[in-house]
Amino acid sequence: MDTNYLASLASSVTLVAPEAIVILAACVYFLVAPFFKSEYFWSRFSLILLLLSVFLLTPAPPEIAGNGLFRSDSLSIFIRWIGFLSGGALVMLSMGRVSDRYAGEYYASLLITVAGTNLVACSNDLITLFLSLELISIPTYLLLYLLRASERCREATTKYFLLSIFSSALLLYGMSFFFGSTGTTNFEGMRQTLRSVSPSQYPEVLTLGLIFVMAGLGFRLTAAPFHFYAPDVYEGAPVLPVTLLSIIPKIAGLAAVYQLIHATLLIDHGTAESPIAEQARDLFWIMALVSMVLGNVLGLLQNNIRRLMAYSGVAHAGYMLFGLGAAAATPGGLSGDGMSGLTAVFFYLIIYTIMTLGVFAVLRYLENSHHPCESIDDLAGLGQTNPALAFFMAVFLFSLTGLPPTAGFWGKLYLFLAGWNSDVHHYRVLAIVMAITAAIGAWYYLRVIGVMYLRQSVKPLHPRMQPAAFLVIAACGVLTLISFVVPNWFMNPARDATRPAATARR
Amino acid sequence: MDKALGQALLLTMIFLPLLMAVVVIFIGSGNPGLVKRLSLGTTLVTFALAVILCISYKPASMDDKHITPGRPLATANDPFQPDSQFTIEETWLTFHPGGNTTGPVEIKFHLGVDGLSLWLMALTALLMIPSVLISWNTITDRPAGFYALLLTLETGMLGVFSSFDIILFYVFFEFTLLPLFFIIGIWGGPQKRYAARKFFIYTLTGSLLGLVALVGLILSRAGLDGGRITFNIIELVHNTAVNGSIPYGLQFWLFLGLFAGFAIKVPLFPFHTWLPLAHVEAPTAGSVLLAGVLLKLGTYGFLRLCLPLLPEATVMIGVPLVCSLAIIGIIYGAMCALAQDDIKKLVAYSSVSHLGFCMLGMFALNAEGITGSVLQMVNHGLSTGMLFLIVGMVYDRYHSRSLKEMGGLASKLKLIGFFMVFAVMSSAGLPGLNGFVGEFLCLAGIWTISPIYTMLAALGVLLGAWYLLTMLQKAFFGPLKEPGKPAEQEDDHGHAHDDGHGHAGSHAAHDDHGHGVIKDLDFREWMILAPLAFFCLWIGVYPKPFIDVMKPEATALGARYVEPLKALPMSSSILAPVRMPGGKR
Repeated sequence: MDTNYLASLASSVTLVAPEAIVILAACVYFLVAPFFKSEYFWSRFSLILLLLSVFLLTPAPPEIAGNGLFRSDSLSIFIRWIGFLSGGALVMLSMGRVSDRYAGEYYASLLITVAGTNLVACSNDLITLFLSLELISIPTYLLLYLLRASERCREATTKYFLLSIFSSALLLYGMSFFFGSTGTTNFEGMRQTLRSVSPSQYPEVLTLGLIFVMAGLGFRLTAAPFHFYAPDVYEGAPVLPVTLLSIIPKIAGLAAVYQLIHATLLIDHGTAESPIAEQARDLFWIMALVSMVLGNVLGLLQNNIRRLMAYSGVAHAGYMLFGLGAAAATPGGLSGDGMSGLTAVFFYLIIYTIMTLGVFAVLRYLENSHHPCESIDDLAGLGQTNPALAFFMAVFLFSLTGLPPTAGFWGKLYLFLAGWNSDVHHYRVLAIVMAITAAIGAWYYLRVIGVMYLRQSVKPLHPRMQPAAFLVIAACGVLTLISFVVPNWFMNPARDATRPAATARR
Repeated sequence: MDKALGQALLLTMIFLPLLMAVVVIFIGSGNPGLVKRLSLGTTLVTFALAVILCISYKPASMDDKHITPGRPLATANDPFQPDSQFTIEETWLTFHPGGNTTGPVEIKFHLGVDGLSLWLMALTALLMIPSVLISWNTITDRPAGFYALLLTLETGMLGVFSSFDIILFYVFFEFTLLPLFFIIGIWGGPQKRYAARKFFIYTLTGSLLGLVALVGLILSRAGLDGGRITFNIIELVHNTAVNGSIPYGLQFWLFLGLFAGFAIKVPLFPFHTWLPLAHVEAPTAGSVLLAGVLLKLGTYGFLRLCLPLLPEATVMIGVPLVCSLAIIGIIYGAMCALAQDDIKKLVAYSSVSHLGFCMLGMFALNAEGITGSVLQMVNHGLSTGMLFLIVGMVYDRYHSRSLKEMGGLASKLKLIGFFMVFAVMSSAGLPGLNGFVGEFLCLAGIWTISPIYTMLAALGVLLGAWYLLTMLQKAFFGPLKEPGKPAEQEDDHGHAHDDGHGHAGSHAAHDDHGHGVIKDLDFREWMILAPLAFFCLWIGVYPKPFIDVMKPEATALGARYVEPLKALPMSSSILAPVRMPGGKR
């Protein structure tokens, strides 16, 4: 084998050392777990491993480092922080909830999922990007199945498995068009090829590639019309994997969209606008519109809190797509802060992760093996039976609604600013649609709050104290409130994360 | 007053209630006595600070502003830009948008007081005291939560009136929704949950559209202001006057967006349906604050943002649209009030009618009208506040609000009867009381736009007197008829009206009066009504100090519209009003 290639592979791997360590550790888990069944040990060890990996992350390099299979830049550091920390939160939520019998396998799968998410952001090649996405999907099937092998769970797993495979195939097919038109799988190489031709001479199959890639990634983002699996899977699967499903694929999907489309396809050709940019923003526009409307309207009909959260996820995917599209529509949309689409989306990603994690953490805290917390009515009277939990839940839901004084308000405001700041008229229209659909969505979040505070408890849930899970809830709640007061804490990293896209585009 | 001291005063006044709300939560409902005293103390201190604020506020002098350096004469018709006092301006967050904009964009934590907001802040601080006192015996279910929410609401309301940054304004504007949602939803009447949700969703829908319009307004101004984006209201007002306003086509849509946000809050005629429900279901303190202050957030929003920032749209669509809806609201509200059996609902519909006068005065777009409008906001807060409080007191005694069941109460409850007559007279606009001054100024203002508007609105005054006096006559005069008498039926009756859980306390309060003996005002209730009555009388007899404060700002705003109003195509108005002598028609 070419020594040069090996050397570049070796240097690439050093760029993703923390993830490599995590994956290696997970492999060891799989080997040792059958002989050492201790949930206590595996959970603590995973938590330490993930937190240590955060420290291994180098500070964001000013320029892009590495140009082989992986690279390291401010975006990848940004996503890896989110990935590791939410992974740590997921481990803390799982503590004490996983049977000793398969604890090792459970935590190993969780670790690989987290590593896969991070690797998506580090990928600099179609091959590594696809493999990283599969690193998320395959352990997820396992996680869905491990915890509760009931009839409904089996159905949910099968559904997810089949559709996930299908979406991967679509993605791979779309990527093949990218490869076919540019002759390389390396992102930098693709950019160079595109830069060398004038926009009018772009291969037309790129459009097909764009559509298929967005179809494949739309599945991860739960963007309509690729959201059909979400409500059923969220309802049928156990709450822990659902928590994972509601955040991890969104982070990875967003990073992948950014990598493939914003940082690669949307090359800035000066005055001439590439047709692909126009097509991309129209595609984003349609998907955003459909997701916002479907997510918020169908959410109104739900009585199951998990189905409700699934539709909420669809709606929020719509908001993120709105920002992604606005980024494609604005001349300076990839750089700059608050008023540019990408920064708004990355900011939204942080707060979406925090509030969704918070909501599911509360659900997970409340349920026990005899009494799953499923219908909205299960939360009745929570304001009296468990004021602290109800308070945090209300904070998360108000934040999802986008009300001050929560971080969700800034998220919505930045998206509005980005949408209006785009030069394209129909993105301004979409901003209005977003306002209206957000108000429709407010109704179902408010319904949950109303049930918690305005109704008496039917059959009160008396969860026992679980310090680790409560810590996650409290941390999410406090962050949601604090980042309203000091939005710059999240704003600055989100702005820095858009820097490589702006550089790569030139 | 020293600058730093002034800033500290304003900050303390706004955020002390929020801080005490947290304290109250941590004391918990286990110690209701302490919670109540602490809340009362907080509102008293806040009111004292408001009084100091009013005394040390120096009304802007029109001549001063001409020569103040750094504040050039804007246009001939715009002698000065209103400036705020006690200003606090801290950067909250900064953008570097790049593109064709210059310089960083800053969202600021910008608080201040000017002539338009001073009395509304004082009103808020004043109305909080009766709101706490009226809940003293009636709120026994989770009192810590209730008082904490009331205090949080106070911070929100004061914040809206003192914000001079558009985003901060919006933040406080939305923030007031949360406490009131819980106040209505937890401690309200039988339909509380429905009422709370309807109130919340209705207002939120409007204000989200308003937010989009605000964002659009600010970003579209960038091109006119040399690429500089600012959220500072004073600066935006100045730029609009100096650099011209954005194209009319865009203004039209932005005005509609802001209209959605504020008209729902006011509420103007077709958007008022949430109001009677929310008012009736809310506990008395909630109704008082909702009518007294929260509705003013809508009118204040029009005054602070629509009028100065969207001048052409205000003239072209604002005047015909808002004036027509306001007049429909005045008459429709009065008719509905006339048909009510429930006194609280009657007072709620009277709000729809009275707020119509505010809007009519404001959209007269001249100094008299705007002054009258602001004064009418304060007046409505005082007199409707009093009406709700008295209705609450009657309800505490009889557990009924039905006019059919009452009669001649004044012969038994002489003092309550006296205050009721007083509040009704104030609300109906009897000369010598506050309502007259405000309504007169509003009607005088609108006369210059169209005498027909004035006549129709005056019809509303007449109807107002009719329904209020009818109510007074039915409930307080004539032969004595007390709800739920004889005493054996009383308990059943109480239960029938007590489906909600929030009223467990009213039973207790009722029992305090001792085996069906209904007493007149006690000391606490004196303290609730007397201060409000005092201010009603003061504004009615000697309104000059109140008017002087807001006059410079109102004049400046009115002066801007002298020219645009001449170009107003009168036929565009639905009611096709006739111009004054010398007009085009």
